[in-house]
Amino acid sequence: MSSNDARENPGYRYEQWLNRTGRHKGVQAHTATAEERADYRTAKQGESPARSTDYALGGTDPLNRSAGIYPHDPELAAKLAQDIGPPFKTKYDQETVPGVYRKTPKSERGQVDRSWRATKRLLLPLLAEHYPEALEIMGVKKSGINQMLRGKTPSGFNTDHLHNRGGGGNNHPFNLVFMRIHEHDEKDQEVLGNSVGGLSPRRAEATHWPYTKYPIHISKERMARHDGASPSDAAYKERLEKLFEPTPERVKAWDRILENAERLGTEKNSLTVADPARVHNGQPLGDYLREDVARSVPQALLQQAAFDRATVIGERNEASNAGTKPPTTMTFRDFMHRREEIGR
Amino acid sequence: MSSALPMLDYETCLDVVFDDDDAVIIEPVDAEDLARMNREMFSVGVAGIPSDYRNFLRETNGLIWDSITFYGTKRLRFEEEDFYVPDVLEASERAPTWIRGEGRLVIGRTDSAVFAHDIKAGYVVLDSTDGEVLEAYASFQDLFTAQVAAEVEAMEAVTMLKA
Repeated sequence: MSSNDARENPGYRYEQWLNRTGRHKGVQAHTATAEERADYRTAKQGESPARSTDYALGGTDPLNRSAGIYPHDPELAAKLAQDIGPPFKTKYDQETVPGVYRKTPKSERGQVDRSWRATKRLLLPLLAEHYPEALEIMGVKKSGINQMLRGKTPSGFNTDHLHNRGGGGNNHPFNLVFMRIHEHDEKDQEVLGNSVGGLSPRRAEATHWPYTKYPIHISKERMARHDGASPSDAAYKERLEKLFEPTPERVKAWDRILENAERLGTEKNSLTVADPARVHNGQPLGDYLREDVARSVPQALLQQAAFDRATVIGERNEASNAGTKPPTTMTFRDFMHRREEIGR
Repeated sequence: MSSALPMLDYETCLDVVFDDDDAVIIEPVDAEDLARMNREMFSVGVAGIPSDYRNFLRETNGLIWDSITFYGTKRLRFEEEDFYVPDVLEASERAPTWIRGEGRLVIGRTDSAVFAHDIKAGYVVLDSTDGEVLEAYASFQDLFTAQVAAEVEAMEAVTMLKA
């Protein structure tokens, strides 16, 4: 049958598909019942965003904030907490940290969005190859892991931007977290959306920012289902540490993905060494970032890097004194080290 | 929408999706079920399903292809994976106000974006967190073609990179 015939017979493709694959065994399609309607209607959320600050950027922000997530600036975190209250844990066990969602206009997101789908197709095979146990615990079936190895997203899962694109983040591989869809929705709509939903471009809102330390989010609930018993907080943390241990193979794989992401034209991954002349709270603060990276890596990491930069600067000084080239790239090992510190 | 995406048309994009064994394809909707859904939608003040989207549902009554999902007139339950995909009415009713706007019909999603039909703007892609309209299309065919073509472009880019 030609494509014209297919156009006139819309069921044709379905029949062909059915003959080839057989009915998808894992899915049941049914008409929603009255009980199912009642369930979600009573649980519905997000009726009106609870805007607490709504700053205009560019001079009127009383704290002179820029976009980002601020777990390691106690002064800023304390000021933000006055606006938005203390941090909490989300229903699916994401920590929240104080942050500022700077609404990035779509005109500034073009490059970011073009690179998105390709970066994700690099990330998913890496996760499938190097973190299969974590994926199994979060509920990805063998067939789903096989899809991920081919760069595809299995049904029921999503890839999240830790630092949301609309709030200033971009597609750097370090900024991506693989999650279950409903956990992603909780983060984006129920937690973040409830304070930044409908925010006008170039305005900013202080908010609790759900934060996941690892590239895959596993809730306690999923771990309990897998293990048959609910873990204590300590056991949960310890298990995650083990699951995401930066082994040499993983470190190599992450460094390779960063190179490939760069070759694809996605955001650069190099973090150049801090300029010690810039000072914040008595501490030198970076301009150790390339401009494009500053918007791509979660601000929490960058700020942590600033607080943790002494080693890097020390290395640079030593290298400089020795007449060799200073270190200029943040590797995956650096990144994991800083992520771990943020999670403490 | 202007873009440097490959020159794929709607029919070719449908073929791309139906040729993929990983796609979740659902038995096409029939007239009776469409009428039932439209009645139910009107009874709760949700706009009915536009004719070009109805035509898509006659190909597959809902779709999951890679990270792209389109909702149909049925709820889809995945027992093994322990999750469900709502029907088009539930997706619209559950959407927060900054996504739903004034009478938008939520028809699908991808990782961080929502697809909706807007009476004034046509088919739109919205940021799922803050609700900003990121893209707008005159027809469902245009929206679908752009999404599938973008994925095809990404696949090709990654394949070339690995080669």
